[in-house]
Amino acid sequence: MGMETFVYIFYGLLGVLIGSALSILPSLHPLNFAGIGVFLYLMFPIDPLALMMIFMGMLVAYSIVGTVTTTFMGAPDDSTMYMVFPNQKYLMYGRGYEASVVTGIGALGAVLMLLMIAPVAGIVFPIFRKITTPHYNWVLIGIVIYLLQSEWPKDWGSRAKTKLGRLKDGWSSLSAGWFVFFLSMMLGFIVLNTPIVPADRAFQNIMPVFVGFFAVPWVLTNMISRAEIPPQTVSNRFFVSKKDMLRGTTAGFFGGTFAAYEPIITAGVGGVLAGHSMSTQGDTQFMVSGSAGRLAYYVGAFFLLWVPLLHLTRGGMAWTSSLVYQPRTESDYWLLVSAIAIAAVFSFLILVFVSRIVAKLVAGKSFKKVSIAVLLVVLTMVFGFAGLEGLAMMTICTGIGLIPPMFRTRRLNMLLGFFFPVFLNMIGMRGDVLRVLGVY
Amino acid sequence: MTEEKRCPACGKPTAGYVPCPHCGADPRTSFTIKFAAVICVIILGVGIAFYFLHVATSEVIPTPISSIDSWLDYSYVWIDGVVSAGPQYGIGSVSFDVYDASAQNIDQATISVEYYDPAENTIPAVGDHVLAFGQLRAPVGVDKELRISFPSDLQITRAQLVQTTISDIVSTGSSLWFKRVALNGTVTGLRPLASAKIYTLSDSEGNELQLYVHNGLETYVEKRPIGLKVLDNVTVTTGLSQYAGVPQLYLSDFDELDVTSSENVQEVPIQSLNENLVGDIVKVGGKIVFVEAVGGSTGLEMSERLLSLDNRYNPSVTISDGLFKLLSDENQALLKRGATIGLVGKVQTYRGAYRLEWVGPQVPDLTPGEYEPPSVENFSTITDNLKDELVTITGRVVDNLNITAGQLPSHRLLTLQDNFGGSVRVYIPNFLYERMQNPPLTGQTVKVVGKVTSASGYPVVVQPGVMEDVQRVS
Repeated sequence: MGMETFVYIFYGLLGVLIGSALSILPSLHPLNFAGIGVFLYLMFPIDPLALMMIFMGMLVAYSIVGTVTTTFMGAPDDSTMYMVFPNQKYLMYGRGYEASVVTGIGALGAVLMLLMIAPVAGIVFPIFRKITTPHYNWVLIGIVIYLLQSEWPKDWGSRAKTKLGRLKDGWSSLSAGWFVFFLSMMLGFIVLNTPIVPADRAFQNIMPVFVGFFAVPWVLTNMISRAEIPPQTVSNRFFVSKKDMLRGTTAGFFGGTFAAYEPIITAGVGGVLAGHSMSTQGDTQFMVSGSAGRLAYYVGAFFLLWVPLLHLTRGGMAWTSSLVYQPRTESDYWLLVSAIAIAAVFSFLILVFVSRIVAKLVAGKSFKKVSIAVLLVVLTMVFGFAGLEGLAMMTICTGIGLIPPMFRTRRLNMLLGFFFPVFLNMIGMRGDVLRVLGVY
Repeated sequence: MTEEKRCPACGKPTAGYVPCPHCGADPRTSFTIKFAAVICVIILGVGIAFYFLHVATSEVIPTPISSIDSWLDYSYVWIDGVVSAGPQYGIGSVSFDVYDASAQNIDQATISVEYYDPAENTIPAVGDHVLAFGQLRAPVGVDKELRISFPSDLQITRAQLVQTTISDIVSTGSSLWFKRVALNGTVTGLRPLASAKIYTLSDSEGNELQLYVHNGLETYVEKRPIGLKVLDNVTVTTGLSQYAGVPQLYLSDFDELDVTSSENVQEVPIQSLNENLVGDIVKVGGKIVFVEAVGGSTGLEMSERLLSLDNRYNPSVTISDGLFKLLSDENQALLKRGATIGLVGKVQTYRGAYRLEWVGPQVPDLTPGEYEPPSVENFSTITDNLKDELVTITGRVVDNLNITAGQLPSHRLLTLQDNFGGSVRVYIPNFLYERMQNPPLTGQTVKVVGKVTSASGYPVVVQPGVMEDVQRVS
């Protein structure tokens, strides 16, 4: 095999450019475009491996450049919801650019770790898969139970005088968390059984749900704020410790990889589990672990499809693109790993460049106005992709999505609840529950 | 005037406090963009190194078939081995088995390959070496299967031909299995299955070898019958497979079969079958005086038909239901009581008597005709003395009794009354009764042709041979 395959690297870089443009728009996701990409491929066939490289580039760009949206516009998705708070805090300190770049370095760290495990992935992952496959069911249920049970009661600042009052305080956020879980689960039973959006857009069925759960509530919360975004410092010096960077990156990478490997588990869930197991703390570790986890989840899931003798299909992009191409040889795998590395560096350069521009653009702007602009973009995107039905669905989900910030409970419960029907399906109980609910 | 100290991160005055009281930045723990640059350079270096690894490695890593387990369900893998059975042609797909010798047990090292939308000249045959890429299905408790969707995912190296004989194959065990062989033989039998026909090829020493012809080859590929006849001498050039340890030629194309000549068949009167003819294939002829269907042991299926030629006491001719169904519709309709038939069969002994087993494939000589056994008017004369005789009776059904047959539908015991007040029982086995379009009802007058026998504890009954032996008169 000669060097002519280097052209695939350029396809990867093309994917980075496309992914960067899409990632900066709030509420958009490369997975929204994966189905469209496959459709275009069927209409205008190109080399399927080239299309895979474009998809890979889009994922890398989304994982790295996408932090611009989180930091400067405050419109998170399920994988960035744990970064948005510290990133926005940095933004309000005038350190938005720094937060954006530091977050990007966290993602680069995850890429470095991915490159480190790449030579042994073909040995380790198949063994791991063989061992864990029979245990997916109880592991998933165990994760749900752990996350519901591990939430700590919130301190409301004033200790109630009676035992009953203290009990009430203690359970107010926890019960809200359970309530959110229940509502999301009911929604999951409906949406995952009967697509709400029009049939010709069914592949965007859950996009309005996630936008409603995560992006819109955050934007609405920001709109209430009367703050003005302060002037942003754009400096080549970053005031975070390398130790925090290393710890956050490691936690994020393991959490993201776990989420990529386990079916249904998302980056947010993996991030929380890794954070608990590695005791991450402080804004830097949260930001860095969030971005590292995000990259390990999205890019890692796609990477798993290519690992020789594993061919594990995980994540929306892998499932969608596997319709077009299946990695065939070890050579394909090394090409992908190489392309991920080069695309990551290219994405980071774009991140630095875009962050500098956006930092200057948003300085002195009213957060409220920025949020209104973001909301308009979000509404347009949801309408464009999922129609009026999608907007209706997004509105319902926004109602659920507003409960966690109001009662200071975990947003993650929405994700757990929404995908709980899938867990039940995996253990063969979905039919029974649907019968109880009268769906069957 | 002293210069006011400002936080390098947020730009606000710090009054000398470290870390910054506004944003928490600590100048003592910081790094510059160069740190990120170094990481980028390392990543680029490793990435380029992996690119050279990509350039250097192009080999395919096949998965050993015996290692495929349920955890690999839905995975995409390469398999590398020799075609051990197939092709089996379906609508829009072809399937075949691949064996890679990764385990001593052949079944463990064999996988079924389903090849969708196959391109011309890319269908492998037994003995061909294949390297295939596709999606695995290996759920627990189900045979593993590889699904190929693109012709480019199947690389075939055609097998070398080995000239051999039936005798060699029978005597050398498995050494010739999964090789492409050429040999001569004579067609001496046919066993039809639901999905295929298995011909028997014999050599002059009496060694036998099966030839498997999948029905899809006739139906979807050649779109014509194979046209083989019993005692055709053939040259076969095809792959040698095995089934349950028995070697089996596997035809993938009609061109692999060449009929060179036909053996002459000795013609023998049916009443002259004797010890010297046992095992021989002979031709007989005569008028069919009775057709007796025989039921299966587990359901309502018919297992075979017994033909009585010329005389009830001549050796019977047996034809299996599978072979009967291979006859044309016209010949199936003609093969009934009264017709004159010429056929080829193998002489056998069964329970101390001679009989002739119909051997396929053949097209019998059939001439339509009528025959009715002697009519018995007075049913009271039907006693033990008439046992095994054929009779024709006409009477009114005065009773219709069910005789239970386990989980299956009941047998029927009709009581027919003649004009003199006498009666006789007619026993209709369930496999005949359930096939009757207009079964006899109480009060109707029916005509029955049957054999006097005993059944279900009744010492004397008349039992029809086939459905047409029971006819409603009024």
